Amino acid sequence: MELVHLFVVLGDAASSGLGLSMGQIYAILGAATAVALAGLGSVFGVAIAGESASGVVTEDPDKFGQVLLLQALPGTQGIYGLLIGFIIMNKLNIFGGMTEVSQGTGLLIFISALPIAIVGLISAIYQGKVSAAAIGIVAKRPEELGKAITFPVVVETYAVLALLASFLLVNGIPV
Amino acid sequence: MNKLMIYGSMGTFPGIIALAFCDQANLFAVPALHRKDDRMPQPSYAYGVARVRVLETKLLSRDRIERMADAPSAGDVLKILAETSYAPLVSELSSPYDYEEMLTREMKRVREFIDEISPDPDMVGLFFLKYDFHNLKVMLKSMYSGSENDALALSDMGTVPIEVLKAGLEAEENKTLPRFMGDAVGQIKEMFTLRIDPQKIDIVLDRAMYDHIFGVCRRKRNSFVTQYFKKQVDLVNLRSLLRAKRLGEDFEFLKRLLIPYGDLDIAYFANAIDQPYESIISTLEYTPYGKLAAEGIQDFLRSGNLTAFERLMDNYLLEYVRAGKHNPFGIEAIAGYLLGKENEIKLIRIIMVGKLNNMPAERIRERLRDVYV
Repeated sequence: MELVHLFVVLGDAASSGLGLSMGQIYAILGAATAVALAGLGSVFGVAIAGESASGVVTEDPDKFGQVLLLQALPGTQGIYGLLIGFIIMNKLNIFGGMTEVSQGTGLLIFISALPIAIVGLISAIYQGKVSAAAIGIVAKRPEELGKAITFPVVVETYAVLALLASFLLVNGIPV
Repeated sequence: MNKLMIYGSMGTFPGIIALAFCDQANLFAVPALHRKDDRMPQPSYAYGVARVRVLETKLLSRDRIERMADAPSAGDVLKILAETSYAPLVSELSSPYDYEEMLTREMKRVREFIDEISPDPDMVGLFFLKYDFHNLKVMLKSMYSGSENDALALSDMGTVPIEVLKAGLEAEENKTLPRFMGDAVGQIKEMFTLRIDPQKIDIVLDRAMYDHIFGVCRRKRNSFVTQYFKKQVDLVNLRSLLRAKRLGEDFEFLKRLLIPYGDLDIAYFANAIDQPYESIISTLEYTPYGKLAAEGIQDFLRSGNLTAFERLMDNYLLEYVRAGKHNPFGIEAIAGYLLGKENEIKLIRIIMVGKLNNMPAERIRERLRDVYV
């Protein structure tokens, strides 16, 4: 409902002279969603893993380097989101006078941003949980860091696939 | 529609999504209200579990325990302990005879550590309640038998400080004690105005403790902790059954000792009290307690005491906790560490008592329980 309401308000705004076309607003919304949702996911992910990491470092400061690596893994989704957001902004030529975008194209760009936005948000949270568990491995068996990293990286795969999908989609839309 | 409304709605959209996931990510867990000190409560279990993971590696291994059991003297046992996390405590020890002081201090350290890392003191407090109720029993018994020599038997591992317990017992109105303890004590006092019967103390207090434990369990809906105490109740009830049978008592006697809440219901015990031991073993065969009952009851029949049964009880509960300790976001690992540490302290005590009394190594080994790592 909230989403529908937002679109109605945006439509009104476009017609009442905000200076932007409906297509441009959709496209910007796409860029914002990719950055915001994937970023939020990473925030939750690194926070969960960070709690575990702090626990280990409290007892054993020498493991800082290893657990930091594991904590940082869920941070990549935020970067992927920013990447897609940046590509969209570039496409719109947002820094040098906006390119005109039709309503249909704008909507397509918004939809193209959704894979990395949604998958980024959710995969980062779950990856954070897997990282926290993997930090438990490093806490007990520091020599098994390689195996510990593998588990969160498996979750990463799907964030990368979503990034790929969003990237191809955004690139494939002619503006 | 003006610009303000647009910005307003744009803000709510990510806001709602963010809120939807906050719960999932467990970032805004409500800090618990009842803390004895001003330590900042941990927001979640992830931090505490990670600390426990590191400390688990410092628990004494089976090898080391066996080396200690084989050591020629108490002093040599302490030398082996000095290679472990006990080193600072051992170095402060003036004579091996003061080992008890060292163990008390270690346990107190564990208690403080667990307080510090737990996001939910109410829940982890359940594992310390047995010390409170032990203290209450000792105090009440000495109160009604008139002896004063109870200081050694008291433990400061409980959730309520000993002084508070003492003050609460002596006062007419138990305002200082937690409600459930105060009520139980009041009930005993009232009962004893008619006739003093020290056996009743255990019955009333055990019942009050489990009433409280299962009250908290219902509120918190943590299946691991609920199951743990259910199993504990079942085992305690089985032990009561064996005791009642040994005394040749009937179900009326047993009924007063039984604690509800377990998986084995009262009807099971009503039936079991009149059956021979062999059929008790066979009725339990397909329950989780099958192996324990078979070994424990047979040993009970052979030796006539419940030592082996109690050892099996402890091992069974340890095994249960051990199975759950891999959860990185729950109380399992913390409870596991606590039980492991309690077990380790018991082992060291058995070894030290044995060595100080020149007991042969084989006898000591017999008495050692499985180590938790």
